[in-house]
Amino acid sequence: MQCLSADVVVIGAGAAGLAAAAAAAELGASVWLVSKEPPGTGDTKISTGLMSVPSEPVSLVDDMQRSGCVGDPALMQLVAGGAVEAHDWLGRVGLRDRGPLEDAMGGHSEARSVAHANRGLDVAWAASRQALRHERVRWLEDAWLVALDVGDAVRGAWIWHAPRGVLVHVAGPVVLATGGFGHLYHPHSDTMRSNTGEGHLAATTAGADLIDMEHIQFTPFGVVAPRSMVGLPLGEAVLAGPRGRLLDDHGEVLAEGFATWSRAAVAGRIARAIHEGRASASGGVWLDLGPNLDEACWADTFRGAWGHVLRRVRRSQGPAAARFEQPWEVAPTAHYCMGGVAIDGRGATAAKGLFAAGQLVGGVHGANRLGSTSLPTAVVTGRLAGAAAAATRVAGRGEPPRVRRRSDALRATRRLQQTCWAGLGPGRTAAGLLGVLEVVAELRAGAGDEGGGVWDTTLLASLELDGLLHCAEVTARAALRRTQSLGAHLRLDEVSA
Amino acid sequence: MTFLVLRANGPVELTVPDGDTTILQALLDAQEQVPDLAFRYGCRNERCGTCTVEVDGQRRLGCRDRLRAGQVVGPLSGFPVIKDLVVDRSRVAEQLRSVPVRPAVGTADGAWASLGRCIDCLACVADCPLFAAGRGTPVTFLKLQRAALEGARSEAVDAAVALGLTDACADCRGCRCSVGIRLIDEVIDPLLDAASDLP
Repeated sequence: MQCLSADVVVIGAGAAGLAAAAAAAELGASVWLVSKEPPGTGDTKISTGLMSVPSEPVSLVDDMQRSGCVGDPALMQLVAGGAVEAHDWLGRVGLRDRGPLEDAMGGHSEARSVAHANRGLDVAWAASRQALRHERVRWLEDAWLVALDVGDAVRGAWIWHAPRGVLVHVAGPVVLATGGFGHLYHPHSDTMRSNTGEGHLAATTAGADLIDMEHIQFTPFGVVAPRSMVGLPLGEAVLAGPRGRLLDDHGEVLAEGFATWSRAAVAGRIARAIHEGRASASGGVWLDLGPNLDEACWADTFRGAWGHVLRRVRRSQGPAAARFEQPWEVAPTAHYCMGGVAIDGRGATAAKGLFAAGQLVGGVHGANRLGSTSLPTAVVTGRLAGAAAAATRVAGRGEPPRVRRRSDALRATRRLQQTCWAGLGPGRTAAGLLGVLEVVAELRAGAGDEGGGVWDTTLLASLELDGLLHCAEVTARAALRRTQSLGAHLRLDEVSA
Repeated sequence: MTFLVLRANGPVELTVPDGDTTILQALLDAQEQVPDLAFRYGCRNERCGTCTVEVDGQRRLGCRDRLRAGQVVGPLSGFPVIKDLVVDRSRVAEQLRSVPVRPAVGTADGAWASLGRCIDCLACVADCPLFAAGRGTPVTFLKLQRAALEGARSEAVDAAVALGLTDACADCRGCRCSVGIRLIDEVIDPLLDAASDLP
């Protein structure tokens, strides 16, 4: 077994983990940055790269709270108040923007989002540079979190290094920045495959709390077919323009004039139609942008702003759809986990020595995150957690955990994903949620053995399955308890008050 | 549809459903039957750069490019193979430490924005004789040229020269990009020109 140590251990290398590593290093701390993918290769990189830069943070907090009375107002104030500085911090290592979007994004009361030329690629590179420019930040990629090392405090992490097939102990206070668990819905997800919830499981086991777990954001327009493209994102509600319409498979109008609606409102309308049996054979509804062609210059403006979406539409649905002559077939796709690990104003969890940042954190986005707020969240919470961890000292090392390898891990994962898309997806019922819990219990009972070799896909899938099962169970229990719809949580069986 | 994968223990024939098949979809389908088949992927959406492989010896992005019956899928050449289609890419990120940092000035313009299209798919690295010799890579040079455009010209060029730019790149001209960046015109030649200008 290999043993590494540093003043701070950061798990996850999207914007949140990179910001944590950079903040710790700025204070003189040595850092081990541990992640499955290379630095910068998380949801940040594949995101739209939009960042809120509110001139009035109070007004952004008002918008963030409008989704319903869940979440942590203090955290919302922290993120909204730090958003401009978060963007400036990336600018200090070369991030240039393309200026502000003209329109308010869905759910925002004013236009306050800036765009970047290459979307998330530019943001991820800037965040990487903030971390990698410090010699005292070292990193280990191709590395899976197995468990935290918990004594009197969290004093390190047990890591499986896939290329060598060995367990590694990394000693130090830990910042978890492992992202969400969108892979629970594969292929109905537009997030990185690596979002499998090991951080949620490790944090819970160490004594941290999970909050708001029932709130998972499904962005409304995901690809429905072909198979290789299912779940890929086709932009935001705002692209519908003044005259865009949503139609069911019989041509009945589901929604009009929804360009300023929140993601949850649009996705909910679609999920309800699908539940009522009004979907296409492939499980989608129809987004018809054609009526906008009567507006002067609309198509040209659209092509300028949403060229990447049109390329995806052409590829998935053909040239007529990309010319707006045919409606697009769409269904919601899992995009962001609003729930997660509870932290205080320093990024500290309830477990001593353990900090959390980024999408892993719960409470920042209430029941329905607004577009362009996730990247500020990653940078603000990452820097807080990194700085707080740098001021923490821990010592000692515990016994290595048993690494359970189960031969059916991949098959069990696929079954869990199908079950969760059907029962824990954008539209939920008590019966569906109970069905999810039954399958979770059944899959947990699978037998395992020990061992594991070089890039052992079965062992890696086993580690990820444990994270996904934990997140599925906690999310389903939270969703069962919330019997009324709120934000992104849609109960199709709610009894009207 | 049947295709071949160059696995750790030799070529293996795999059969997957016909129809619209990207390389990645074929690998995902094959993995249902062969759970220990090792390959990387991330976003399925041409953005994360992790699913690059070779098909009949050509660099391909797994989630974007099609697979046809009878083709041979192998790991990206030039890198140490860890298992099956998974290669060790860790040396690339280490080089990026040498990229100097400057504060942003102005908005995203043409040349700078164009270089930002790089998704780090490493297709350009696979062919690179410098990388094979343990030195620079086109992707490192790309980030250095971007830093030069940000105002760190002499530092960036010094770093590129230290990584072997002037020893190999003038005669090689072999860089190929998967996402359409003209690596010779946009990266290698500007750096070589700057290197010859500097004392």
